[in-house]
Amino acid sequence: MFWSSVKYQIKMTFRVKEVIVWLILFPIVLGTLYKFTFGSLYEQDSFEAVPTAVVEHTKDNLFHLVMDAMAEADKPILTLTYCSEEEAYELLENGDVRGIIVIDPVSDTGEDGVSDTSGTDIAAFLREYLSSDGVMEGLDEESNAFLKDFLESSDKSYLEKLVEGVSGSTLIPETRLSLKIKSNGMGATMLKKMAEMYQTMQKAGRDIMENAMSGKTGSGDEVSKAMQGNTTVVTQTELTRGNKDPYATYMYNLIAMVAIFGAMSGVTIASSLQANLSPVGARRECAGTPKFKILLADLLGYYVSHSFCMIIAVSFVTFVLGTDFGSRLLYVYLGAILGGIMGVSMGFFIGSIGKWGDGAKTGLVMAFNMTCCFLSGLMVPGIRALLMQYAPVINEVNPAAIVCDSFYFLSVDEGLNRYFTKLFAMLILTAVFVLLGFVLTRRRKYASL
Amino acid sequence: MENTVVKIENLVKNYAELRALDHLNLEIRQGEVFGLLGPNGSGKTTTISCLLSLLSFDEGTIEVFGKTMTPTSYDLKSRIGIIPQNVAVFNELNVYENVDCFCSLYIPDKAKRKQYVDEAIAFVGLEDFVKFRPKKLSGGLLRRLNIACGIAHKPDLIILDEPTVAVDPQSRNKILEGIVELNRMGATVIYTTHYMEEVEQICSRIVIMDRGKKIAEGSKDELKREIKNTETIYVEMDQPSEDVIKNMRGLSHVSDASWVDGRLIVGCAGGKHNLVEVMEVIRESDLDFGRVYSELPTLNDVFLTITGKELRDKDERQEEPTAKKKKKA
Repeated sequence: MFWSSVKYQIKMTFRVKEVIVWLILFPIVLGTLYKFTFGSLYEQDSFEAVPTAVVEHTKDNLFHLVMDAMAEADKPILTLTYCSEEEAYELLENGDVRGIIVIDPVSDTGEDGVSDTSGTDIAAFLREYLSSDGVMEGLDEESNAFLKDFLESSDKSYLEKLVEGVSGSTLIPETRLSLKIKSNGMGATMLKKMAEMYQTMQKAGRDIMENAMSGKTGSGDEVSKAMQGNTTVVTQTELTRGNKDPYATYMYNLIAMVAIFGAMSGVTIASSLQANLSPVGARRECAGTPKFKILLADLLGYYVSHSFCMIIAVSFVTFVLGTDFGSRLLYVYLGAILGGIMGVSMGFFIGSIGKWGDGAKTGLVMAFNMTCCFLSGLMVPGIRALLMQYAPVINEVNPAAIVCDSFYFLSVDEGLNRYFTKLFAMLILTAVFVLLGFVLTRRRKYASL
Repeated sequence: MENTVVKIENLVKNYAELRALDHLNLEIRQGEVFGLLGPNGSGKTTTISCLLSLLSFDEGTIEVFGKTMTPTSYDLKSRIGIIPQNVAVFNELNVYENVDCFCSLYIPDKAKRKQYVDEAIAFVGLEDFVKFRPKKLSGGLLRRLNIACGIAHKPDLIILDEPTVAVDPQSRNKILEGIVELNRMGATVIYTTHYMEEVEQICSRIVIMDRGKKIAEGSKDELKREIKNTETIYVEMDQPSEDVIKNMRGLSHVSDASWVDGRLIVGCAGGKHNLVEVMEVIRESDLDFGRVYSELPTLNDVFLTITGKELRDKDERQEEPTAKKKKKA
């Protein structure tokens, strides 16, 4: 009886339209949409640098430093053409460039400028700077003697001679970037973001310089290092063998959603098992086979069929859409299958509650699924982080969050401890759902049918 | 008693304030086609549900094959075949798969099961539809599938709960013939319905229920003997005078006479030439008349005599297809 019931349960699952739509077509369609919508964004090899014209109405060394670095990198983000305004507009009209960055000067009397920094402040800053280790190494004797005199002297003539024409605004000039684009698109968006980023960076640099020179923060040594660009604060180390690019994350989320959607097929288990929910349930309860045995066969059938759906989903995003899950593909399969089993069990549990019909319970499961997915950040990014901060327990018990977390840990961790912790949590939840579902359906006589 | 298949004693079932079964006693013997007849809401399905241990009950005992029936009496359950009132099949499985799926709950051996399933399908005449899913079957074929799923494991006791509701006459006859055949093959049958003609046609013993109580029990002849009228004569005519009706009542075997809805209705208790005598009175009164016909008593008359109400609504069967069409529309 047992294996025959399992066989028929599997057959039935794949003959239900909703299962085909939500568990097979949904990941294929949405995954394909992801691929065409976002896929190229994250494929760095195929990324094309954005051709950009630059019109300089004033000289900005920092701009050159930053933008030239972007243009000269191994995988350049920009290709820059420095030209006059007329030439730039012509290039834009011809479609040779996506946009024009115009660098204009800003009056140095503004509040943000550093022209009000006093010569004494600058002198104090310079004294500290020159006293820093290594600054005077490699200078010729004459320069060394001059600077030594300066450091030991309070004579303003040295100071005046030294700081003549020098100010914070000379080191990081204040300029204003304006961007001209012909049409919207990825290139234009990128240019806009880069221009904004540069202006922010410029402002931050100027603030640092001003504070340092006025002795508010930082030592000369720190500023010196910062200006030389050799301050290494973060060392980047590869911690994972997975793929943590955002595109793969979309796919992880998609797989997690499909796993949780298993609840939709699981919801019918209870109704086909209980005499007060369906005629089929009544017929099966009258049979000469224990209810628990029938339940186990049903669950196993659903587990197998849903696992098959999960394998299809993962295989599709991996081999058809070409998503790179690093060297951890087998773990992705394992997480997806266990997530699916948990989803089916969750559906069985929800289906066991109350005497409503299958339609109402499917609606309930859908609502519950969506809530879980929303809270786990599958719909709106950032929700999970908020919950982590204010109500971490929700993330610990939310089935969708558990599946997501397992994939997340798979993609960011070098080890597998946290991943296996989440798999264990899935198993625990599965056991809890099945146990609760069985407790609710085990009643052997009904007060009414 | 050795040949008692089902014994129900003092069964009481309450739904909140409503008493659905009121100290019901039934005894069904081996080899019977036992009819449980009663109007809708009389407690037939509740009785069956209690018998199958699906419903809890407040008082009484139920024994099946000499043992107390409980929800875990799997040995007893395996000897029972149930054909529920609502079609209980999986819509995702075809005819063969459905019968096999339910049969597998009783018969673990695959080869034996295949033989049983084939026989059940042949028995209900669905050989040409084995690959059809339930949604592709007509109402009558669906009912036959419902029966096949309940009898495939060759049970000793078959319970059919209103199996012919909303079934066309051809399918109904096929179903009724099948039930008689199952009984001939050795199965005891419990048949619940509110169609008295079916009970009269196939049941060897009948219990009539109303409001959760057994109000009559016996073979159809025994039940009919409980009522006074042995024959009812109908004469279509305009309303006769009171003298004519009085003359009718004065006839030796006439128990009652009245004019209702354009018909003179004359009830007779005994007598052999009642129709001739009635027509003689009409001729003497020089009255015009239309159709004349005579009916023997039915179980409805029995029910009417005992309860004072009809067993089922008049022309209910004719209304069913219309109601179905309306539902479809």
